[in-house]
Amino acid sequence: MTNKKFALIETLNPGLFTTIQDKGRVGWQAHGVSVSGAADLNSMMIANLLVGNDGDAPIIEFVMLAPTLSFSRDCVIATAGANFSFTIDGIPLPHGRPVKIFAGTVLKGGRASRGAYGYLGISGGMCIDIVMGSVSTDTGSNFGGVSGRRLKTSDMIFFSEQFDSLLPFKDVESRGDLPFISTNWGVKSLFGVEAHEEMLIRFIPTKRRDDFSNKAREGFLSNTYRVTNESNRMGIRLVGKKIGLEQVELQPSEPVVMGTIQVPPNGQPIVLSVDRQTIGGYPSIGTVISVDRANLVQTQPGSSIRFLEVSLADAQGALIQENNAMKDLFRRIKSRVQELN
Amino acid sequence: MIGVNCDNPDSHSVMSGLVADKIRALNVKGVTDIVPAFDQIAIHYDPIQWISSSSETPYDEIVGYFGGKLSGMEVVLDATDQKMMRIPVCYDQKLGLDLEELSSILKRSVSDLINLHHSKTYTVGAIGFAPGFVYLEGLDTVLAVPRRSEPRTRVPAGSVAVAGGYTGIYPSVLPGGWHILGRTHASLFQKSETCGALLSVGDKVEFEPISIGEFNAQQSLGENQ
Repeated sequence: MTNKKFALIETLNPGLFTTIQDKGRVGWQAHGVSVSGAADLNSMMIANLLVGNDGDAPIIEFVMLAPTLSFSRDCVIATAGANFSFTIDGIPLPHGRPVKIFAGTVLKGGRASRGAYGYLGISGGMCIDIVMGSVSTDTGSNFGGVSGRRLKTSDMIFFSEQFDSLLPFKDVESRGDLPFISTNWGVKSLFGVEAHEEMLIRFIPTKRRDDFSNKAREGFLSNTYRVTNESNRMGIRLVGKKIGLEQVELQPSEPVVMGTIQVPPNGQPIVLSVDRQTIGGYPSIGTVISVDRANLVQTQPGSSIRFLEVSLADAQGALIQENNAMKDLFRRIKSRVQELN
Repeated sequence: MIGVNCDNPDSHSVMSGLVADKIRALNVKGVTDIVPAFDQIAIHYDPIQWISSSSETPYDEIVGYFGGKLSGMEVVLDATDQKMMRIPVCYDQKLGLDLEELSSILKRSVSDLINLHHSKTYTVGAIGFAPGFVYLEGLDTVLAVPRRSEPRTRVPAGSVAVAGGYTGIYPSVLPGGWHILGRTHASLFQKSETCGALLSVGDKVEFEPISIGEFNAQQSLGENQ
């Protein structure tokens, strides 16, 4: 008899802001529902593919401080995104590789280095209710994920009961003295800037140019902005040279996207992130290009950002290029993972 | 995201609601969200699905496609296909938490304010801030007050409120800085695959005043269901 009933992941320590995510709640913005989803989609895809899941299967996302979890059954896990120095019995877990762990394992998370957001893929997946087409946790509206909130101590997440084809973990040497088995190959980090290094973020200018003077635009382009620790999944809050507004009275709200650079009356920009609302009232000076999404969300508080204006054609050209590179990477991961079945 | 501008200033929200419906019905590949708000419509799309063999960008491709589809399209304002929602509101001061304060700020009696609020027909201009939260246009200018200087951390669900020239309804318990005039039991949002928000951009809304007795009776009715 299998102990399916007890096949679960228990939160021993929740970390700072740990949630269940997928690619987001798409198609409900006209109802005022935020998109949410993994902040760094490529890293989410990689962590899932490394354990043989679909790229957008439910995943555990953590920010700055990772959770400590215990596993009641054997499974294959993989981390991607920022490196959170996970350990099992004090032994470092390889980052960006499929790792087979055994029932009773306690996976201990640490602090983020080279980035802010990390992802933990779990083979076979987790049982999370789908709300409006997505499992993504929307902590603002309290739905999705585990009870619509971030994980807390003693939360139990059930493994999905679907067949886990990765468990044989063939062609990998036995574990010897280690508490886990890992492949000898993996995926390198796709981004990475240590705190206090400068990150170049590209944006396309807004069409409503008259909200800002030329002088305000030049100031925005020629100065660096520091990521503050008030940044979260709603937005990346920056401080730096004040961006002057031509008029202070509020405009009617307009639709916003991931990467909309809003300028509130205090002149300190906020770049909207995954848990943004669907419309916003502050004037926008531009939109961060999709390709720079991972670099943007992965900047740690204290790092500096410099903005570079590009054309929409350049932005979409870069996106097509990145998409091709990612498709190639995903195909290579899938074929290596298949060898483990 | 692509912007669509609607040029009829008297009824721009009605127009953008109608045009958004037409665009939705086109079922265009790669389009994920169609979001009308006041005089604009945002079309969220996946550029990867609009890569062309020509030198055109995905943006040019999809804009060209919509240009072709929308230029031949007739959007007629017909009063009969507009949804009119009558929402019962109790303006009792136990629920209209800011009636007294607004009355002294605006130097109008509480009953004046209530009359000004429920005698108008409103149009849903936008939905946002929270799932199902409607920004209703058509507020009497007397009630066009700025937000409260100290926002509440928990505005009761169903609170009907005014700020910044709009009136709105809090669909659930939320933090908020609008001035609360009354409360309704109407359910403005349901997190199900088929429901979502009760109202859409362009819908008409009227408020029907009810007594505290009727309000409480509706509440117990709801609880028995």
